[in-house]
Amino acid sequence: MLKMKLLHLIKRAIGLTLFALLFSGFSLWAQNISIQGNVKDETGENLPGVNIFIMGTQIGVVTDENGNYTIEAPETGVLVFSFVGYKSQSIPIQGQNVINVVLGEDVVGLDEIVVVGYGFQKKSDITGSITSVDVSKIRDVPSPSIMRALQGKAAGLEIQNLSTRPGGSTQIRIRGNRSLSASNEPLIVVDGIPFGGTLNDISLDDIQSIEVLKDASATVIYGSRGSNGVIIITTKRGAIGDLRISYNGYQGITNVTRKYEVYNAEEFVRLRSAAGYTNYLPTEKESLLLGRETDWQDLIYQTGMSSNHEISLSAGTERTQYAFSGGYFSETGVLPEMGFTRYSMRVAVDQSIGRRIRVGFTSLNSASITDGQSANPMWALVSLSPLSTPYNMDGTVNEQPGYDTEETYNPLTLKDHERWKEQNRRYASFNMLYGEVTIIEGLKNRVNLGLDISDDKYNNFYGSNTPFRDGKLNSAQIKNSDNFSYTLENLLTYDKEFGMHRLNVTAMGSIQESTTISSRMDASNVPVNYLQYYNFSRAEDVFAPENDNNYTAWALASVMARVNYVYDDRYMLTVTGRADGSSRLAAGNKWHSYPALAVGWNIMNESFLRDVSAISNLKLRLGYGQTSNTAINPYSTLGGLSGSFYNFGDAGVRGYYVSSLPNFDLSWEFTNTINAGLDFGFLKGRITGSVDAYMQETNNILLQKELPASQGVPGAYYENVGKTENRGLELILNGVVISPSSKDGFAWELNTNLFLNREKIVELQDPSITRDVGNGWFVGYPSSAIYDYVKLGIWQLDEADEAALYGAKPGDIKLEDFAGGGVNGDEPDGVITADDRRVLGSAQPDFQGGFTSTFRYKGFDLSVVTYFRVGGMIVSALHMPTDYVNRLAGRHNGIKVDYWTPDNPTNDMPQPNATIDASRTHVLGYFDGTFFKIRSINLGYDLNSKHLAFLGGNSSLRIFTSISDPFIFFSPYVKAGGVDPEPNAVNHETISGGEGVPQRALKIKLDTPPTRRIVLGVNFKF
Amino acid sequence: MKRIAYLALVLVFTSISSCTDFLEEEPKSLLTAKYLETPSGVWSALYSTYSDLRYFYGGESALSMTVAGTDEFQKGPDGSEELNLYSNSGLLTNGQVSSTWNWGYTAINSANAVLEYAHSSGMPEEDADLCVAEAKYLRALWYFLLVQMYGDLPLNLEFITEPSTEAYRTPAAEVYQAIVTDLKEAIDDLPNIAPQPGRATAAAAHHLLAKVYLAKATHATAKEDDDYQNAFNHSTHLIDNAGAYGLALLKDFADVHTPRNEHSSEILFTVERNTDIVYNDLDPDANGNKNNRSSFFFRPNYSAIVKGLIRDIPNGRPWHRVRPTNYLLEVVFQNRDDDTRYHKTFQTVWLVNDPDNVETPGFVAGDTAIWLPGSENHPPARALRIFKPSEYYDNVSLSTGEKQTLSIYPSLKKYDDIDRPTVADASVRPFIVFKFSETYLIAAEAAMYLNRPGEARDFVNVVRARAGFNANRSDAANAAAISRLTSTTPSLADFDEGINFLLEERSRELCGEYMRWFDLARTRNSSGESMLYYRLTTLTPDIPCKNTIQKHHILRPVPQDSQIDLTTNEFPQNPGYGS
Repeated sequence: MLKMKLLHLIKRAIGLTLFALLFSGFSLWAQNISIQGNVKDETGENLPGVNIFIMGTQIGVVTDENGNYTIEAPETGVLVFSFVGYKSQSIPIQGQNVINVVLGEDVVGLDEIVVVGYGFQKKSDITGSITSVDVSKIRDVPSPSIMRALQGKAAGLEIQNLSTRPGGSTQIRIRGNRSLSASNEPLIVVDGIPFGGTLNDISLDDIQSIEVLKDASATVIYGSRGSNGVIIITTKRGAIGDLRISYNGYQGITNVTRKYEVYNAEEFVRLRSAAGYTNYLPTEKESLLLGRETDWQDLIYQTGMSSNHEISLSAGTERTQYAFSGGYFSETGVLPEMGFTRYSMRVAVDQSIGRRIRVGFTSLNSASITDGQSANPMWALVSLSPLSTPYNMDGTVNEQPGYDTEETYNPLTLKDHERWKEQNRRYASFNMLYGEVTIIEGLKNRVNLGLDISDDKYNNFYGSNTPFRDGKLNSAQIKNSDNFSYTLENLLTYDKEFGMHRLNVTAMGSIQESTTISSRMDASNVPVNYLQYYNFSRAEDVFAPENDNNYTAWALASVMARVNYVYDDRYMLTVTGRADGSSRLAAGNKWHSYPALAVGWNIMNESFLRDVSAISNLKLRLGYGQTSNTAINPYSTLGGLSGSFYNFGDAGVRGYYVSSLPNFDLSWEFTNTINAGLDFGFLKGRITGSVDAYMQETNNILLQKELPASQGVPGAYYENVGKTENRGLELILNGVVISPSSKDGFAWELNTNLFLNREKIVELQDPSITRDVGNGWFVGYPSSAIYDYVKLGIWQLDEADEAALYGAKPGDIKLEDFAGGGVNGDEPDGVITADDRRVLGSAQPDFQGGFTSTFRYKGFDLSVVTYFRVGGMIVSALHMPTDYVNRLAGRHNGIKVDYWTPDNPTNDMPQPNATIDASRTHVLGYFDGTFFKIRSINLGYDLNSKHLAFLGGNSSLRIFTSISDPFIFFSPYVKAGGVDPEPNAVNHETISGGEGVPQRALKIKLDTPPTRRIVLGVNFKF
Repeated sequence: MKRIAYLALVLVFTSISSCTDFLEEEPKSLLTAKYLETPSGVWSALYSTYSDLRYFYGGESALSMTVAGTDEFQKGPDGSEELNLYSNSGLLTNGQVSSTWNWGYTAINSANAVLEYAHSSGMPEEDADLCVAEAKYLRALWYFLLVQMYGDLPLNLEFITEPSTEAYRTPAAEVYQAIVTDLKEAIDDLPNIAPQPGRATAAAAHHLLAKVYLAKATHATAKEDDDYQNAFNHSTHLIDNAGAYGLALLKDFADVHTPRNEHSSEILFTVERNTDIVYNDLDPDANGNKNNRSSFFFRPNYSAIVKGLIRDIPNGRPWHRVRPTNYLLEVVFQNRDDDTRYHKTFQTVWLVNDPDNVETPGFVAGDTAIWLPGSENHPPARALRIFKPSEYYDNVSLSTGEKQTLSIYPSLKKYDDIDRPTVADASVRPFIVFKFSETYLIAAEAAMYLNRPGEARDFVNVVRARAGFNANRSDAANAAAISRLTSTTPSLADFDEGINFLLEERSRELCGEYMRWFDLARTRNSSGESMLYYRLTTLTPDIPCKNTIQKHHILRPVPQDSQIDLTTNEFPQNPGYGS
């Protein structure tokens, strides 16, 4: 039944194509004539580099250095002249052989063409909430990945680091979290095709534009994949013109921004005596006598190097345009054997065949090598006693500096590359082929085929005598994962202008399929270190572990239609509908349809405003739509078994138990969004910006529910229950603070974005449930709510009697007793029980944003990129004694904190070795998440093109230097001794105990320290 | 031009027509619950039920729940306070408290799958009968552990295939009934002798059933008049028919826990482990909860005390979670000559194994590094360090009056493991769950309460007589020692004196074997007081939890996070544990 429905839909889509093709076969075409002319700006200067194309095609040319052009075009056609910063003009040819044009400056950029889902639109016609990121601006921040460069650049787009290592990943959220159990990652579309790779695959230099689609009226076109927002990345293509060669390169160094502050020898001795720890090892006693101490971090941190080189070529004739580039990026870490290297190659070709057909392809290829992506030796660096010695008397590395009572091995062993290696080699190829037929003027049929292939080979080897194994048998792992995805789309578009009306219709049918096969083998007891993971046949034990041996496939079939209608450049209407069928859901629930409606009003074009010169743009947008989230893992409806192996004597046996239960009723989560926006421009465009307000309501939330343990099924299962809501406000404000008096004059531009999102859970399993403590969900609070005891401080000496009532003594953590459970209700009852927990806060900031300030003078430009968050709570696992680095027991060293002693009556941290209840010490790890970060400071100089004239008129040379992450201000966490208020990990696996901290909270754990990078680079074009 | 257009069309067509099952899922790498309906699936569910026992026997959570905080063992230098000292705080979400509950129910569900599908799976009838019998034995063992720890609890006797967030506490009496029924039925179909090491036998089921009756006999609501008689019947059945079950006490107590001897004639049931990494994840730091780490917990940090001693495989990895109470050392093991079990239970001598680092001249490998003579007055001896009992960790020094901070005390050696690949690895030894000597002690206890003190005394003396055997003594000396030992056994005519004596005897025979807390929680003195409370508060020398143990501690709290918080109906907590 379902299949038939799908086939029916797809056949219909094909029918449309067929119709279009037949139609095109009978249509007649006008004669081509040759046209030439010149393009000038309003001051009479010739304009080189202006794009001229025949409307309804992508056939076009570019003006030469004197502003002249020649083009072959149908005599009844229309030529479109466009140039960045100028208003586009469309001029009917009407048989003329000479067309000269004067382009007026467009201070507002309203005629900019913006990429939207499955097409383009004039910025002034857009009704949805779309943020375009000026890629030339983000390129100011030399960065290994696009997302790092985008941090703080776009309102509503929150990008957080998940790692401090080279090649580390980021978490992207568009307008907050909607889902509690499923993914909240947005859909990424590259050159029109959903992208399944990682953003580290793409070199920043290959990107032409980035659009962030935020509201449902913009994302509904992606239906079941659209509810977390969509990021559309368009890569560079060739243009008509002579060969252009450009080179971008930089070289940089990376250093540890700040070390973890640990106790030095003297402080360590003081800590131990406060903790009553007397078990000094013989070497430690010796160190005390000799006044000898070791700073383990200093011994191991090194300067990382980064370099980036990319060379690209592009050229084009009227029929053929191409661009290709090769890139190399490499970065080494501040810890030995860690680094990231990427080789990339990109080709884009567009070819016209006859007058009506155009074909082309883009191929993005990369090979990337990540070393040390997860190996974490930090425990050794932070916990080893400063009184222990790194080297033996004979100068060799002292492998176990804690003699043998501390199992921790010397981190200097990391410098021996034979002892360990962790490497991921990734090959990714992303390809898009298209064929496009212009059937009649304005009506086009396009077929896109996307092929996305990636292959990851992950290996590790950890030698026995390293901090990774601490003397246990060495271990090795081979993990391979390859993905093959394709997308096939058939698009029909129709553009028509008649009188005051402008119409754009898009219809599409598409199928997508993705298959991932992964396999993993583990080994241990490899006879010699140098074999590492290269020959498993030599390892004593080889086995396939429970995880990472998977076959995963999913498929999606869709049909979609959209109508954009503009009347008199004043009133805009967009109506969109899409239907999706997905393999991930059980039969009967596979299909769903998504509607959206949006309207826009260009107030500026109303007669009453036309003459108000102070206002250069004023547009109101209003949109409503529904989208959903496909992020149910394949096979989630089926339940599953896990392995539980055993042996009877020498005979091994394989047991399996039910680890998750099936749910055939599973469906998507649906998000309804209302968005209202106002775009504005004042003072001839000196001030521009937009304000957006939205409300998203997500229903049928997928809850990954854990069952009561007595059900005997430990794995969670998925259910569609509950509701969340996100409301938010976004402001973008760009201004020219000081307008240059002349071309070389001093200029100051400020680009600001500010946004806030209020996320809350509206409903859980059923309306009567207001909290689900086990999962950490509370109605009325964000999903990142932290529910825990309230730390009032530390019990002080004069509070001994009161403390004793709670079984505590001075120096212990003082918790608030406000609830009495069953007996006393909400009155203090003299006992701290589970009822004395409450929601302390959440990761959600009050507001956040960033601004970029750019100064120009003559050839120089200086930009400062900042990023800030105000409010919200961060979870520092570092400070939670359950994670051992703040254990305060004296046995190990740890991060330096202000701990209580009778002489130091602080309210910060408890007395060392106090009788504190481990399950309640999470309260020591919550901090205010406010910070203001200078993301980068960039200084560049553009060499006057006169000096480069010998290389040809379009040559340019730019030299720049940049420092990333130089300063952090206003961070209470940093003031309290933290290293960096930005998280470096997600989920609470390493936080033991589990109480209080929600699974989804981003947290700061002990990991490689944050770094600061300084680069020097050059951009060269000729 | 047209050709290309048609090509595009063909492309679209072919890709669609080849995907007729386009939206169907094929779970190629996933086993689903359907598998359990097949013969091999039934076996796999049974193996999983066995495997989950690893979470208990040899693990740290069960150590904390059954060994720590008893009259035998107390908090060691790295022990947790919550369970050792019965501190209420944080207990409700303590992972050690929830582990038995959580994994117990997973194991029970697997056992239920066996019971559900064995006979319909198409496996041979005799295989199905055996699977069902073993599953019932295991389900009974799990429910017995659970009901003793938590009291009333959800009684699932059906395989769960649909999620539900409701759960209700079934009265313990019903749970005990289910356990008894399971074991009786299991006994009928289980073999007398295990076909493979570690498989359930009728002997193990008889032994377990006898233990169940002993516990049930003192349970406020579950007890029935014939409980002691039933305990007596099942234990003496084994003793009387030992030959048929291949059972016999070993001659020497020292051999019972010797490594590689875990399947001797004295052993009724083990939880298996071996060195095969595929079936035994040995990394105790990575996936430790299923490891046998019993060889770590009882060890003092011997290598931190003198130069010349380093960690090695025979001496083991010192996690010093628990240490023996002074009561255990000084009272229970007061007799260390006639009764050989003190020296066969504890390591008191460590020999130099790192001679290059010895700082005292003249000491070479094999010389005594540390000696614990066990008394304040001892003959002079050559050793790098000698520690008197008052110098054991946390004891108060008789000379200075200060608390001792070095991690040293007699080290329980029942779990020593010489076959671990590295010092850091968990134990590869099977964990002994039931041994035949305990059957005699069960019979003795039952006989005593049945007012048959003579028989009771005879059963105890079988165990005590064996304890008097010392392989290094002459036969005559052994006979004399045995005679002295057995003659000092009290008459067992007085229940109060008798149960205290039997509990002491159990310590001598079974200390550290993951059952003490159960024994204390189930036994009562003549005024009906639980021995857990009574003994911990009255024994001398004092037990450290003397002031913190409360009467409600005869039950552990139901896990707050994994059970109560996740149950959508009201799920009451055990009394005394707050909400």
